[in-house]
This record gives sequence, C-alpha cells and structure tokens, in this order.
Amino acid sequence: MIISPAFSSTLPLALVASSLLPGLIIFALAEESVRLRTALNLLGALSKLLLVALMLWGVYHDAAFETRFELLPGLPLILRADALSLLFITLSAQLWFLTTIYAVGYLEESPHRSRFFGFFSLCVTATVGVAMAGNLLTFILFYEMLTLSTYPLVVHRGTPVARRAGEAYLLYTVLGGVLLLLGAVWLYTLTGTLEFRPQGIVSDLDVGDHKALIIIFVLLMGGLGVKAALLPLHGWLPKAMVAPAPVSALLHAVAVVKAGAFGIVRVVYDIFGIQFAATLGVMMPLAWLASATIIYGSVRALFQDDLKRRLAYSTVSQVSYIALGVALVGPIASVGGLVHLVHQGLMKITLFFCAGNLAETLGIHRISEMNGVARRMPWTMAAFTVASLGMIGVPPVAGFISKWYLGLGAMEVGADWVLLVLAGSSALNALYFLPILYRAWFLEPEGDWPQERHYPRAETSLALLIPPVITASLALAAGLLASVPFSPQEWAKLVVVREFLDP
Amino acid sequence: MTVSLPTFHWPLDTVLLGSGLAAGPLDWVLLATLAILWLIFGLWLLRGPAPVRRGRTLVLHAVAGLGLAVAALARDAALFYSGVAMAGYGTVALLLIAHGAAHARTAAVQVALMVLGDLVLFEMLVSLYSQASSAEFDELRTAYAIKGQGVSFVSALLVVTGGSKVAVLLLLVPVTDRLPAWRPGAASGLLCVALVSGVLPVVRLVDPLLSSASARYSLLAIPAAAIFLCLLFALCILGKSRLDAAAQRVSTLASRSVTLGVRGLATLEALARHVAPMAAALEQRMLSWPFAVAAAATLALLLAMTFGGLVA
Repeated sequence: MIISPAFSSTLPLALVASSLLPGLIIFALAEESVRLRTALNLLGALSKLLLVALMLWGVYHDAAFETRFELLPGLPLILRADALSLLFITLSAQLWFLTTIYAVGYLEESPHRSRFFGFFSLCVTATVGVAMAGNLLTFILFYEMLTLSTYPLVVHRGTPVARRAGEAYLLYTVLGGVLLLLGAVWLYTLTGTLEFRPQGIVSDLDVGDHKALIIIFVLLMGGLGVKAALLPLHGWLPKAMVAPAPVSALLHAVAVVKAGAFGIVRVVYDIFGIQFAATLGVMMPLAWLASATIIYGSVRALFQDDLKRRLAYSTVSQVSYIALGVALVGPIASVGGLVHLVHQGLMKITLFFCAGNLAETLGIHRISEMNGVARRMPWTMAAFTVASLGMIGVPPVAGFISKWYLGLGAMEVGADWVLLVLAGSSALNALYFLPILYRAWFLEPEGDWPQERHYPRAETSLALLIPPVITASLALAAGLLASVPFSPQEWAKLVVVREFLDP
Repeated sequence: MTVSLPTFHWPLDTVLLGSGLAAGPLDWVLLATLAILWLIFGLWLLRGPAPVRRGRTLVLHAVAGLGLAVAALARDAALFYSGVAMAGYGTVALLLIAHGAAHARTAAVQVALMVLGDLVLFEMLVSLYSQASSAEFDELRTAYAIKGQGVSFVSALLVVTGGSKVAVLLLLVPVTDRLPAWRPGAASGLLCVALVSGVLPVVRLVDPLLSSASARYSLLAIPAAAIFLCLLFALCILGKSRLDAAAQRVSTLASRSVTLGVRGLATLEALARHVAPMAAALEQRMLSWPFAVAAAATLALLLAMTFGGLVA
C-alpha cells in the first residue's frame, strides 16, 4: 500500500487534534451553547473514528504512520501508529463516541458542562497520545496529561467526598508518575535512547547492568501499576467511584486503567523485549502479582453493596488479566492479554453505563435496592446481563475468548497453576454477578424506587439507553464473531505476530 | 426399504475460534429426541405454572433451545461450550420463572452445579486443546485417547463435568425440605440439559459409538458423581447442626471428621469476615499523606542503597 510521506506523517497529528481542538474550543463556550458543544463533541468523535479506520487499513497493509518533533537534543517527541497502538486507539475512539452521547444525556441539567466536556476531550487526546507514543518520553508526557485532565472529571461534582477521592487519585497517580519518570531517566543514562523498538532497547547492555535493569523494571511497573490498579496500588480506583457515571466509564474502560495496562505491554515488548525480560527473571513475579490482584479484586468485590464499588473492584481484578497475559511470555497468552484490553473495555463500559442508568432513572445505587429492577428497565438490565456473563467468561460473550487464550497460553508455557487462578476468578465473578441478575430479574420490587424519573419514549432517556445496548451488542459480537477479520481477536493475533513472533 | 438420513456440514469459519455445525445419522436421532423433549417442556411452561410474562418465557425457551441445538451439532469445543452455556443458564432461568422465588435455593444449587461443570469443562477442553492444537472434536478425541487413558486427570475432569450437569436432573427428587424439588413437568427440560451437557461430552471426546470400555466407565461414573455432588450440596444446605446429627448417626469417627470440616469452614468464613474490614482499613490508611511520605522516603532510601551498591 503506497501512502505519501506527508500524509503518513500528518495522520497521527490529525488524530490527536481531532479531540484536542474541539476540547479547547469547548472550554471557551458558554454553558447555554448546548447544541454547538454537542455538535463539536460528536464531530470530533466521528472524525477520530474515520481517521482510525484509515489507519487500521493502512497498518494492516504494512503502511507506516509516524510524526517526529525534536523536543530535547536526542529526545524527540514521536507519534507512531503500529498494530499495538491501534488496538488501543480503536477501542478508545469507539467508546469515546458512545460515551460522548451518554454524557450528553447524563449531564443534561447539571452545571459546568463546558468544563466537563473540555477536560473530557483532553482526556481522550491524552489517551490517544499514550497509545501512539513512539518513545518513553512521549508516553510519559501524555500519561501525565491524562492524570491532570482526569482529575477535574473525578472531582466534577465538587462535593467533599469527590474532593477526597480526587486527592487520593492525585496522590497515587502523581507518585506513580514520579516512579515512571525516575525509571525512564535511569534507563536513558544506560541506553542513551528511550525509543520503543520491537525486541526492546536493553538487550545489548552488559550483564553488569542487569541488576540496574531489574530495578528500572520495578520502577516502571510501579509507575504503570498505579493506573493499571495492580495490588497494592489499586486503592484510588474504588474511591474514584464518586465521579459521574460517564467518568467512571472513562476511567475503567477507555482511558486511565487501560493506559496503565497498555503501558505495561509497551514497556515489556518495546523497552525490555519480552524474551529478554523473561531472562531477567522479572516476568514470573509480575504474573504472580497479576494473579494475586485478580483474586484479591474479586474477593473484595464480593463484600460491596454499592454497585459502582463492586464494579470498581471487578475492574481491579479484570485489568490484571492483561498484565497476566503478557507476563506469561508466550504468544498465545499474549493474544489473551491483548484481546482482553478490548473485551474488558466493552464489557465494563456497558456495566458502568447501566449503573449510571439505574442511578439517574430510579435513584438506585445499591445492589440491595435492585429487586425487580429488570421489569422497570428491561433493556438496561439485558445489557447488564450480557456484560456480566461476559465478565464471568460465559460463551459466546467476549470474556470467554480472553479466558480461553489465557488458559491455553498458560498451558503452552507450563504455568498450569494459572488455570486455577482463572477458574477461581470465574467462580468469584459468578458469585458477585449472578446474585445481582437474580435480584433484578426474579425478585419482586420492594415498593417505590428511591428517586424515579419518567421518560415518555422509553424506560430512560434514549441518550442513556442506546450506548449500553450498543456496547453490550459489541461485547457479544466480539465473542461470537471473534474470527472475523479486524475483530479484536484477529487484531491481537496480528500484534503478536508482528511484535512477538516476527518482530 | 431403507431410509437414509441426510448429512450436512455447515462451516462457520468466522464464529468463535472458527467453528462448524454438522450432522450425521446419529445426530439427527439426538436432535429429534431433544426437539420432542423441548417441545413438551415448552408446552408445560406455557400451560402451567407461569401464566404471566409469557414473552420472556418464550424468548428464553427459544434461546435455550437454540443452545441445545448448537451444542448437539457443534463439531468443535468452543461452539459446543457456548451451546451448553446457553441451554443451561436459559433452562434455570425458565424454571425460576415457572416456580417463583420459593425455589430460589434450588436454582442457586443448580446454577452452582452449572458453574462448577462449566469451569471443569473449560479446564478439560483447554487441557486437550493444548495437546491437539485444535478445537475440532476429531482432534480433541485423539488427544483424549493419549491423555485420558485409565484413571487420569482428564478423565476425572470429564466425569466431574458430566456429574455436575446430570446432577441438575436430580433436583427433581426432594432431597431435603430446605431444597424444594422442581415440579415433575420440568423433567423433560432438565433431561435435555443433562443429555447435552453431561453425556454428550463423552460421545464427542471419548467414543462416538460408546463402544469402548473407557466410554462405558465414564458413563457409569457420571451418575455416581451426580449423586455425590447433589448430596454434597444438600448437606451444605442442611447446615452444621443437621450435618452433625447425621454424622453422629453414621459413626463417631465420621462425625468427628465432618464436624472438624464444618468448623474449618466456619473458621474460614469468620477469618474472611475479619479480614475484609482490615483490608478496607489498610486501604484507607494507604490514602493518607503520611503514608505517602513514608513510602516515598522508603523508596528513596532503597534507591540510594541500590545506587550505592551499583556504584560500588
């Protein structure tokens, strides 16, 4: 496929600008400019989808998209689209579009909408930057931009609880950022470059540097593990649940935790090189940590009555599947980890959209209040049911595909104990999701709903209803049609072939 | 005059891991049996216990029936597993609609058995796939022939899978008054689930004609496993006091061991309840600035020591 150099270097910039420019304009808009703000948001989201589609086609046919600026001597700012970055970008672009529609409906009557949507766009810009970063410096810049742009979203409601949650979020993420920066500086002193390359940049170093490399790995994982909510750095995530539902969806499915998990993948693949990282002996401890997080998150989820907190602990558990897949050091497990990046996003955003619908329409925040809610909101609960079953790993929903590849990958590398972790996690997921479904579908409602609102055309506002129905359908399609070209599974295989087997 | 049943093969390359449906003469017999039983089940559901919410019943009946058909005709593990899940969970939901919340405990036991069966089936299929490098039943059967000889891990998994799925049928029998039995009308539906998800794996993975000794032993072991699992769940529900009483009647030795087991479970539960608030409190403490400063200082110290060691 022949693409002109000017076009291939412009496209990454255009992708970043597609959310940055609308965001900056939205900041300047008056609160009353609802139509213009919505139009700008949707225009940005749609243009990003179009650009992503172009890049997907190009990268599939081995085209290169790269932009470089000299930021510091020998340290350029690089934006590059490869198969791995597009896996993440496609997810975030699709979900940003749907979350924008949802947020427009969710924040219909709330104040400070221009501020909200401005930071919302900046957050997606930062996510795209993280995904397309061609070196660790660019990655860190956008990673910190993500921290700063999501903080105002977490504290958007301005309540004391929201502010405390915001403080916790900043505390964790800034400390994580410091660790990341420390690791990057140290790495630069050893290698003289921070550029991401297939098979990494450290394998040529002397054996004497290996001890330092291990510490750098720990520092980088510490920095990334905060956003990826690895044990014991996960504490900010359940706290951040006070944020509005679209922000929770953004934190859990589109941007923040995914940026951490994606960073782990990038550092392991393109800084250390997965085989070299395995010879350093750092991958198995990462696999143990990920496994411990998987089980811990699920056990903690069991004890939560607050729906969003239960979902938050579920995220703590589920995101570590990505780290586990990579840490097992095998192509099949890597497919499982990478594909879960997308699958978890689709399923978890559905769950948060539904939780938001229940809160907005009926005032339901607790699981104990959900008796019979499926009779009042059948479409919302149908979407919730599909996503829950997917989280458990019930086929043909997408979560099954992830677990299948993780299980196979574990067998491939002789880590049979991972099957027990997967089984334990699935059993725990069933324990904390199925009782919710039982309450919602089979129990009688207990009197009136806490704060019921009526909508003339459907069970809730269409802007709130359509996004979860679409994401649930996508989660089902991603599993059922997993072998269709350009599906998450097929794209993850492409990534593994290019990054792992044939770099 | 001989009647030859048609055969068909329908490749579904884009579905799940790359799948396909196919039917030979025996599969048509199985499919016809399932169709008749499922129709009877559907008529019972519509005529009897659930006059309200017929729309939901019809949808679930169709989904679960589709699952049965898919599982019966699937030629690979992933599609089969999907069909089994759709049929199993769909049937439990139908029975819950039909019986109401009074049977929630029975449904919970059935779901627990299903989840157990699915998890074990998953482990078994992954284990066989890793040997066969294919999800096709023909390949998995070859792998089973190598790994599943005699008393092996894989054959034990097969028996537990089958047992847990067949055990759902046993819930028609009143095991204890605290575990209300399903009404007899549910038999045809539950039989379909037990056949497809409990017995069919033996046919698909061990021997399509059930003529080998290995297949026969598996088929014999499955009902035993089902009875064992059913009783185990019933005992759990009966609770500690009845468990103790029953165990005392059997023998002092059994009583002691079972009581110890129950005490162990109670201790574990108490420990879990004790640890949960501690974990929450620990998380709370980790959110404080003093903790952050202490963590940063410790990290700086560690780094300084490391740098010192490296420089030296």
